[in-house]
Amino acid sequence: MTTGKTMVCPCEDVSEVELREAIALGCRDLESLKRYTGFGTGPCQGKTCVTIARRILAETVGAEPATLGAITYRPPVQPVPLRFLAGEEAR
Amino acid sequence: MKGGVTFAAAMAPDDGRVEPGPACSRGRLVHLRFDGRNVPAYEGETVGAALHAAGERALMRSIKYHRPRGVFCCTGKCANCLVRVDGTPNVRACVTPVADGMVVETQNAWPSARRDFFAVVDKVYRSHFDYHRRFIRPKIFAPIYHKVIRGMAGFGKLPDLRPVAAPRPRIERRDVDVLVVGAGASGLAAATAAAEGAASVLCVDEGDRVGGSLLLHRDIDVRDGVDVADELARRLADAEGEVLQRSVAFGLYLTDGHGEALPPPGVVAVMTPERVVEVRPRALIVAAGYHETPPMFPGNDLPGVMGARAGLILLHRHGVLPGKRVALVGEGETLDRAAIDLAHAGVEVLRAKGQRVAEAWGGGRLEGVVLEAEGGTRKEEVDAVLAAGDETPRVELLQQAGCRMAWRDAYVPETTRGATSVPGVFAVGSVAGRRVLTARLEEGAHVGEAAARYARAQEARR
Repeated sequence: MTTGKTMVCPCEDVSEVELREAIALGCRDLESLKRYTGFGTGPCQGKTCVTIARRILAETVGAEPATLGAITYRPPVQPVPLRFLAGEEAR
Repeated sequence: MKGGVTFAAAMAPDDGRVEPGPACSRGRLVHLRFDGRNVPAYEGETVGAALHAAGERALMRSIKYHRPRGVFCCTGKCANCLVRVDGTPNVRACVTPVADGMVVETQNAWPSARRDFFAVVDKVYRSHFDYHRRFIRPKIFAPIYHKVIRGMAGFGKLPDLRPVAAPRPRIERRDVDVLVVGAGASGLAAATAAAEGAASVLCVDEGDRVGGSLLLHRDIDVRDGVDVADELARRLADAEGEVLQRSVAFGLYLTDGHGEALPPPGVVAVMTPERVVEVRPRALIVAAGYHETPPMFPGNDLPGVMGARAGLILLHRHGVLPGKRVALVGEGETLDRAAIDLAHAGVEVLRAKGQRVAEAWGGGRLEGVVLEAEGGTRKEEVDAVLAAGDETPRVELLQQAGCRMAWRDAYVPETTRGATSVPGVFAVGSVAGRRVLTARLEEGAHVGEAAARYARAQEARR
């Protein structure tokens, strides 16, 4: 049997318990929570886990989700084969 | 029509499938090799859909705990179905078209994703494993721990080395009046209206056929969504609008390659199956839709738990049944539709309305859920859960363009009739928080016209 973990970030295997513990340890904003637990840093680049993390953080610290901001989505937002980027420059 | 599911012939290719509908392009029967087993598949299907139909649910194991994972989003956005295909690791099974003789292997698992020896990590660390505070003492052993842990973690193994015959593809540059990202209901309507407004239009779509959610809706104001999509596509082609299929807009840059600032909307980098295209549009319409967000309950990552839209994609685009006994969790239009369409296809549907999933259980795949209501809990054996949770609008490009965001249950761009705070950048559809399909079609057309007008005004100014 697979154990009953609730996954917040499946890419990096960050569970809800882990996220809550990191908040208890003092990660009170999305960015430090991301840096400590690693949520949002896997191959999907935080496409959905940030929504869940924001909600859990908002509930725990008693903040409005709107005040917690977003994480920065840098390009590429989808994996690109290096072969494509190593192509000759555009004219 | 009842789905033509034959339960009698257990390994026949049609077990797990229904007769293809109008949104499904099922080609000839071919075969895949999956971890050494022969799996029947049809051309036109994705690797993920074919494996799902064959009852192969666990496609990979997760990075730390080696938990089994399978298709979740069916849009190539999450990373729960990364497999090795013909020697290339980390290929998203749910968006990779099948080819005869394709060799597909599970990742991060030994000996296989079905039964993985390293899943013992999941048992040892029952709640979690904090890598900042475990295996750091005594200090002299830390390098050894790290070596072992690194060997067990990660995403797949390096690709097979082979000579690359193909030349490096040249990066292409395109200038257009209007670039539309996403050819779903909103994007397709916008692209069509812009093209008919005499603008040169390029539309970028990730799927193999335009229409997005239109292809999953069998009736829109008594019309079939597929017909609506086909008609828009025809009009777009007549107005000389171009569509790049299987293509992803992966970034928006406000500087050129030398760091010089570009006027908005900047450059949008697009990856097609063959190359990267640098698009410089006069106006940009982002109609990228939304990501399905996983539901929250213990076992929410078991193979078989997927998004409601993902279930509809399997059913309508591939003629593949998400499961034989399926629990529907949450609320919303997509889930209502799934309830009707699945029942129609002969699936036993369990609508968990007013109930909460207390947990899901299973070994290598989902086997059941515990449902919780005011009256108590009950166990139900199911092989799939379709969940409608939060929808996360795909605002990545809009954020990169510098659009001002607003909070409406999720981050969405601030818009006035589709125009964002950045001149020349428009947002329409679910990415802007619009959910009702008919409204999206109508609004898409308005925004397409507005973008074409903006592009013409820019042209006149030069």
